Amino acid sequence: MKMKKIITIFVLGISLILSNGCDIIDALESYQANIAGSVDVNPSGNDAVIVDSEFFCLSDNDTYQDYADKVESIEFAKAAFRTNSAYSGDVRGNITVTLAPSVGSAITRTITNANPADYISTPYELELTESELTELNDNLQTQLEAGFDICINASVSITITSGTPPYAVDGVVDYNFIADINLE
Amino acid sequence: MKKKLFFLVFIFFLSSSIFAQLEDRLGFLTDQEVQDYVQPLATTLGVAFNSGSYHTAAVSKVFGFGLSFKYMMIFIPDDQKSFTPANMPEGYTASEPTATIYGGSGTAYPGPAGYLAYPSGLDISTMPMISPQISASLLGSELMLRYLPKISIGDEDLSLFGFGLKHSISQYIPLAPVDIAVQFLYNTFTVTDIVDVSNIAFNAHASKTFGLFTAYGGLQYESTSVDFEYTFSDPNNTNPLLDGEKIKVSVDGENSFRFTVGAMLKLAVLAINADYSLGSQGVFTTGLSFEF
Repeated sequence: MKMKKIITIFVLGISLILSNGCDIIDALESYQANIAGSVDVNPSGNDAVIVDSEFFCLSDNDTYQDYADKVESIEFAKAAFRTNSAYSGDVRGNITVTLAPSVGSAITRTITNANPADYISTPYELELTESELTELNDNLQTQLEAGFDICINASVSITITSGTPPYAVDGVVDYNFIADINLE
Repeated sequence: MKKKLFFLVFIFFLSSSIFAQLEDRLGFLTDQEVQDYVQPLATTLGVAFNSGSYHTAAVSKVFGFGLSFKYMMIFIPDDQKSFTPANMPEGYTASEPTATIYGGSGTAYPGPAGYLAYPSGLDISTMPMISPQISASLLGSELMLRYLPKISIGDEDLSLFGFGLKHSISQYIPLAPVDIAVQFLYNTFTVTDIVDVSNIAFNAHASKTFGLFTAYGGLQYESTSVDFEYTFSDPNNTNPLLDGEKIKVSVDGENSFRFTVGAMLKLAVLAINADYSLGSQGVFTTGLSFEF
């Protein structure tokens, strides 16, 4: 009887070892990768509102390309606006940053009466709400599963409140996606 | 699937894939950040290699032989799952911690060169290890060996060598109420061009046998050094001179002292033991040994 109990405990122990081992191997076979990148957006002109927009696509991102055929899911995580330089140093205005996915609602944030030069070393992070992220990511996942490239249009418009024309802002929109990669 | 088979068939320490992934994960991290990111893994390797080396302090006074399989379940504490990066490039601030090798998502920090995106971890709280070992004893001393010939897995070659020397102290103490022994351990583990692990440990342990059962415990000092090698990449152009360079980093495990308590059941030539060690990372060890 005692021997039977010992064998039972031993068999249970071996089962635990193997199941736990397989869990760890599963963890080793998946990798959550940050897919970070940037796109230049350079509004310029003499008008009271200057605008520029550019698309960024995951197929253009080197990190994403490394894993493209192994991506199981994708989530948009963060975005930020920053300035490389403002050619007219005294320009001020309302800076509106818009992220427009191919499908679904656009996300817009405005920094009022801002000096673009203030964002050279300190980017402005777009705080996205939970519902915005959920809608955006549901649409991105659908596109991924349908085999489409994931592209987002980043647009920056500045409504000038003060400054001397011509206006030109060398802007950048930074983004970060999180991709679940299957390494198996 | 291949990796699962590897685990099940070879029943041995870590899958080499954890090390193969390091290249992907370490990427642009600086020396200091690599240390912070992988130190918990270095600790785990030390804890594992220095575990399961005894389940009794009794050593045969004539001749003895044993073959053992030890299974270690190492518990990763929460405070070893994240770290706050230091010495970030100019213009970046670590506003929140990021994952170590055992943590969850890596943090992306905004700054003047775009997001600095740190690697994610494995998101696990336990790490299993299995170790086969043989031992032979003679006249109150015991030699234990752990050895694995070079095995190729994918692009990596994995190899292990370790030994332990144990000597009975209680044999010099007439009518000693318990068995007492001291032991020295040395292990090396290598995955070609990625990681070199070396461990040393000293311990003193004691045991007392009651019929089929033996209770044992011990105190151990140990140290672990792990050399990692990876290729630096620089997606944010913050360290262009290092881009593409091979970087070698030596990381010491946080394991130094541990206290172990356990019990063994001996049935003829079969011994089953279980113990728990308190240290930087707790480890539960079970073992099945054939010994005479």
